Amino acid sequence: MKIKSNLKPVVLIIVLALCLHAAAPLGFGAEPRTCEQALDRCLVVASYLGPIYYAFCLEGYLFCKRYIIY
Amino acid sequence: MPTNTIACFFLGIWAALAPPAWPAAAATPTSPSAVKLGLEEVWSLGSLEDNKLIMWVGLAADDDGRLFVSDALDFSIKVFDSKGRVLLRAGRPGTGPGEFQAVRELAVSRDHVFVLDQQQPKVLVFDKQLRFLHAIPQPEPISCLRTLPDGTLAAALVPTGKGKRPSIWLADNRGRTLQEIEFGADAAHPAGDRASFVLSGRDVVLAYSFKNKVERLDRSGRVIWSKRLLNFPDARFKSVMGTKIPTEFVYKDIAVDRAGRLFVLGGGPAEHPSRDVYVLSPAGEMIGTIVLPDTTHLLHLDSRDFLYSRANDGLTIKKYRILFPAEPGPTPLKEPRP
Repeated sequence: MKIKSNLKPVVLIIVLALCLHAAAPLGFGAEPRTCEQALDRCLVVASYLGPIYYAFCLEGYLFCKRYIIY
Repeated sequence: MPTNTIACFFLGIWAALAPPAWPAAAATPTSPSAVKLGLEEVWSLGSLEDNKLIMWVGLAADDDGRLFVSDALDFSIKVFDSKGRVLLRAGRPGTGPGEFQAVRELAVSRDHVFVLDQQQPKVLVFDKQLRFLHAIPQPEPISCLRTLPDGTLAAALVPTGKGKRPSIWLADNRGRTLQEIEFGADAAHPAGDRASFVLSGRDVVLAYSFKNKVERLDRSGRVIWSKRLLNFPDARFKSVMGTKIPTEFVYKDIAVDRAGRLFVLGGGPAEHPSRDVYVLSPAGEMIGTIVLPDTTHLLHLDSRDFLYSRANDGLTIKKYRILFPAEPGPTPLKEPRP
């Protein structure tokens, strides 16, 4: 499995997907490239799904900020 | 036009005009006497050429020298020997027993491996052969997971309700509460008073995630000392769609060696973000700094004081020996002249 060359967008998409659990649609258009972009998109989707998903978004954002260096 | 599109438009403008998260000046440790400590690489585990690790997150070494690692993109936990060879692997995507959705931190004791999954509000307990045993419900979300030498589980709890302070929760391997040590004050916001911690002797030492504060508490929660290591303010928070979020981590992790020295990983405000490690005496005095070659989210010191950290965006674990300056020895006695 060779995903290393372009890892960051992939990781962000996965973080976002994990944030939104199984309901996460992966086709948001352009890939998010920062934790803030991922959070923005996560919150937009969460606004349709319900308040509980805001917590998933926040946890995903904090993980992103701690783990991924931008 | 949908409301969310309008909100995103204004958020985009706000984000573009917002001030930078941190002042532009470089951070300096508060103690001028801090010396730069050296590192010697012992080995490197995981690379582009192999599939040992995809994106590791949690790491802990046991007293036998084995390394336990959680790999988020491989939905697994793995065990490596002291030379970095794979011994065991367990896990797959899912919500069933022993399955992971977003595996995160782990901690090991003599008999157990404790694992967190961001999507499961439980501590997953495995034996050392990575067989799933049971799950412990989390009383509150956990931001940091450790074990004590006697096998006690220790976790930093982030309160979700108002009127409750964050705490270090000590429990047995069945989740029965042994003690709770409260710290901090900001219970109003879920990200307000998160901290990484280590247990050092009878004390707890906290490195706050969003405050410029490293703090030593005794087991009753009494503050023994509290330090600011960098000339920076606490993290800034901004509001995104009504949710307050911190813009950076001030400190990302903390580890302790056998001598009780503390190793604090600097976050966004550090001169080298996620690479600067501030080494403190047990009393909290700055005694040195280390600049890691690669950015990391985690520090771990094993029972022989080898340091583990991340490289290559999570593909690689690096093991280092820390080189302290030679202690000045006693002056040799001069031979008496004949």
